Amino acid sequence: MMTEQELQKLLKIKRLESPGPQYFEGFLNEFHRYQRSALLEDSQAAPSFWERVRGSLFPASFKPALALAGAAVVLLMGGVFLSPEVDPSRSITHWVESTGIASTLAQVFPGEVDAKGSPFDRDFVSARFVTGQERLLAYDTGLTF
Amino acid sequence: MPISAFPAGVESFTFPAMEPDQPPPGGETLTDEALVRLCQGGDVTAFDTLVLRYKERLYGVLYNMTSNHEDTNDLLMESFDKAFRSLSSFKGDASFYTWIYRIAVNRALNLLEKRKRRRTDLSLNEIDWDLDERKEWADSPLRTDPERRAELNELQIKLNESLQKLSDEHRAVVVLSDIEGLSHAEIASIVGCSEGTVKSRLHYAHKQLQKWLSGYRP
Repeated sequence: MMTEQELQKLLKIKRLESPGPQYFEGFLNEFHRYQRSALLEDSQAAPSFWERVRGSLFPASFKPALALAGAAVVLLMGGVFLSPEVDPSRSITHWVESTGIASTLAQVFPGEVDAKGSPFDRDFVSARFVTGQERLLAYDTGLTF
Repeated sequence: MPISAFPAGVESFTFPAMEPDQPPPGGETLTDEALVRLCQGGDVTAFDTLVLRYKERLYGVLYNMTSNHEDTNDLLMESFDKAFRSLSSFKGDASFYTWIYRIAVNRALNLLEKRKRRRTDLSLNEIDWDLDERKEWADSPLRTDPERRAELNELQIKLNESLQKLSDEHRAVVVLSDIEGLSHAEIASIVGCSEGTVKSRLHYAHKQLQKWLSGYRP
């Protein structure tokens, strides 16, 4: 079997393989020609489908990033001005009033809620039920939200 | 009246013969890093010196990886072109030659992968050895022994066939180490793996080559 040293000696001989001096003599000129033709190919490269579509719809000065930013602003403004109003029948205060649990709440928060038919304090209910502590209290008394 | 591509009075034109490469004056004495900086500063002729400096070494790497002159020529042009276009992003973290070797080796690996390891013509039928120009050959006793030279030719053909049997990654490591003489650290940087992997690939590739070349003696 060939030894490691013999193999390496054999592989080193491959350094002598060469295409000849005439190939390398004109290599730089050939490389410059290659660069020029590559540049020409780049400039003549056929546009892709999307590039053709964009070119037919928008002028050359069209900037996609600017258009995207403009569209985002329009959507944001539209969202602010055109957002639907909240349906009052689905609010929490409406639910409290319609289910008749005002009296239960009056027991939970004695002295703060009128349980005898007087108008319910909507602000009080809303404020009470946004905190976790009150949710826990409501849970203990059998109310679930 | 026929339309002529030539001006009036001119019937034909012969392109002048291709001049041998003229290296930019003064470039040979500069280091790679200095030439790169010059090129990055706008002196694109500095790149010509780098091309002249590395064309033969890169040719050897690419040729021994592909075993095909036409592929090697294409890859060599592409590699230098790619390096020139990317030179502005070259930060100098690695040496220029490691960087350009990496470009060339990656392009060769991509080509070989695309071709699905299609076997191509082997080298010795196409390449002139240009031996008389080489000092190593002038000193070799094989020069005056045609029978021994024929044996060596046969052995080289067998070696090329064996190299082609290796995977592309193993062949790349053998070419860079045993033929080009690069260090393990340099090869690791070029191929993009650890030095341990380079050593492991070399060990495996040598064992394979030794097995396939058993019965031959250099």
